[in-house]
Amino acid sequence: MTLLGLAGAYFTLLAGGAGVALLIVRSSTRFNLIECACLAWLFGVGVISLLLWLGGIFASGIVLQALVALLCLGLGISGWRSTQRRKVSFSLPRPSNPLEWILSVALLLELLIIFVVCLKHTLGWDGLLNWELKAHYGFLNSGVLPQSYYSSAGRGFSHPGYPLAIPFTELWLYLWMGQPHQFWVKTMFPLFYIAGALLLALLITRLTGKRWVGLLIALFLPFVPFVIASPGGVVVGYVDIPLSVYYVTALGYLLCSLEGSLSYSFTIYVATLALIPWIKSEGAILWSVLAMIGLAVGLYQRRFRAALLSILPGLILIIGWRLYLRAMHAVTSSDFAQPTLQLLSVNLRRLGAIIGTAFDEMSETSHWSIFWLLVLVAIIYLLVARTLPRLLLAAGVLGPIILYLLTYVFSAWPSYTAHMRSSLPRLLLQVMPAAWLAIGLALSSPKTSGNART
Amino acid sequence: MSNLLDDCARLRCNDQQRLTRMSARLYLHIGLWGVLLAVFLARSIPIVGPAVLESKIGPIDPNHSTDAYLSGLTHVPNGSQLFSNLVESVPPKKSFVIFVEAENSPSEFLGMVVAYLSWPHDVRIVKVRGATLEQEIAGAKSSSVAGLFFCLIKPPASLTGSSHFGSAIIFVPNVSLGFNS
Repeated sequence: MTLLGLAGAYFTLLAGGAGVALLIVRSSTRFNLIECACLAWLFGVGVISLLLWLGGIFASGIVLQALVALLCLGLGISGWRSTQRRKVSFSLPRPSNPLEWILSVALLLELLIIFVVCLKHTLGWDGLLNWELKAHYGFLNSGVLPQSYYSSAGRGFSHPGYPLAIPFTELWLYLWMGQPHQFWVKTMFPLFYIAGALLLALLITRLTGKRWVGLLIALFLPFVPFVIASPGGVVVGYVDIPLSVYYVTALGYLLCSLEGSLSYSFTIYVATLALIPWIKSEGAILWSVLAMIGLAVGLYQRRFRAALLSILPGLILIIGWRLYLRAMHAVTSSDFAQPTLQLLSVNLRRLGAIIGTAFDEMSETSHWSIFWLLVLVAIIYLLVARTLPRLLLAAGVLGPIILYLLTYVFSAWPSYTAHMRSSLPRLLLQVMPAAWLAIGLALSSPKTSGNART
Repeated sequence: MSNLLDDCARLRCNDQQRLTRMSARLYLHIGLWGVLLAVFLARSIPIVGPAVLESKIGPIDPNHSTDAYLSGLTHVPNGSQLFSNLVESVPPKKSFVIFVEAENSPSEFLGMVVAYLSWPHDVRIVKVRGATLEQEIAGAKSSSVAGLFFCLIKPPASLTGSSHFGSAIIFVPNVSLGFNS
């Protein structure tokens, strides 16, 4: 019964997500099935969590569950009908030479291994106490997080102000399973990784015209030790990997829209950009970097109005969530002080130690091997290439890192370097797939062919 | 004519030079990335490999994670359910005060797990530094408090009627504090 419920939760989630993806690509005549499945997962998480949050303001219990399920099925059906009307054909890309076959099979095996590895571990500290806790309490309160949770100072350690995309997706699984189940809920985390690895391969293929480069980079992804072998990676139910997947997807599709290969790339960028601040609080920083890059692309393509409109959904979500937290009298985090010019001038002397600690972390081979050296070389390649997509990609990798480091100027911890050592590795993880995208583009020689094989 | 031929020869020569430069750059590019990626893998595999192999799947249990942590820290199997039974015996309006030792990660983590499992009761986590425990307990006593939890921290001998939850959690109910209402 539990597994049947789990299947029902995944089916409705993927139906809603696929509906959004299909409605977005209806202007195209062809759609890659792997891309459709990955986007269905990413959008499904967004749709379910937003509907549960907003629906929970008016309804609860079985009514809320039925309402969200019906809306998801409705989205799925309207997406499917729209592709039928427009005669969109679905394609499953097949490897075209022995190298691509070998890499594809190896990647499939690797994804399977990661799925199994994720099931072997418990939820980590944050995975349990920041995220699963919200889903558990929501389940015990008929699908709605009670106001008493947001305002409970005693449970401030669980960050009641963190956004609800991941906990409410967990909640959706719980509602369908009929119980909070800390084992089966872990199945959703490798799905983020799998979607991210496949989309990374696809985006690199599109941007370089070389499928083998995309597959090779996707294969290398879990060899960054922090992904699997450290607390905070994919196996412990933290949300940094999911956030990184949304970020690289939005960035990649924005670059694809710049290359002009597919009509729907910009819309997918807009949709994933909107969800970034809904995954984790730090998402607001990633969102602001991508929004700036999107505006730059809009200026370049003389579509400034569209670019300006593209940041609206995310902006509305950020403001809406803040207002909701205020209405709930939510306990605020005390990790950072209110940024003021006076505090900035006082704490500016921290910069030297911040850079030093960041260098120490990035050169920590037990976390990263020599990954950040590869990124440095790739960034040099991108800067030397001096083409707009490559310069924007460099900005998409460097921008969040610089902003993340600057936030420690306002750290309220007694030791800001201890704060950095505690949280910086996970912040870097959020940029890691985007950095692999940069490596993929650097690894490939300059693009010579037209449309890539996807 | 002869000048034109000379020019052609020079152009061919330039093309060849450019091709040579391009292939040199290509070899350098392949060599650089080949070495970098090989070193990357060589440093990663000894860390990632054992991490992939460690541990095994299961048990497939609703309280998979909380049970594992409680078992590790308190040596109580099926701890989540037993703890929930303890909490359910207390009126929901009453709160708990959880004492943990500051700067002691296992104690602080256990305090958070206790807070997690104490829902829907309100909780207050008190981080005890040095010899301030007696003062903190005096401040925590209230008729709205159902009891005190001590996580990897020893309560003062003056508190009687305590019960042990495994080796790391001690519960002192409200009646022992003299504020039963």
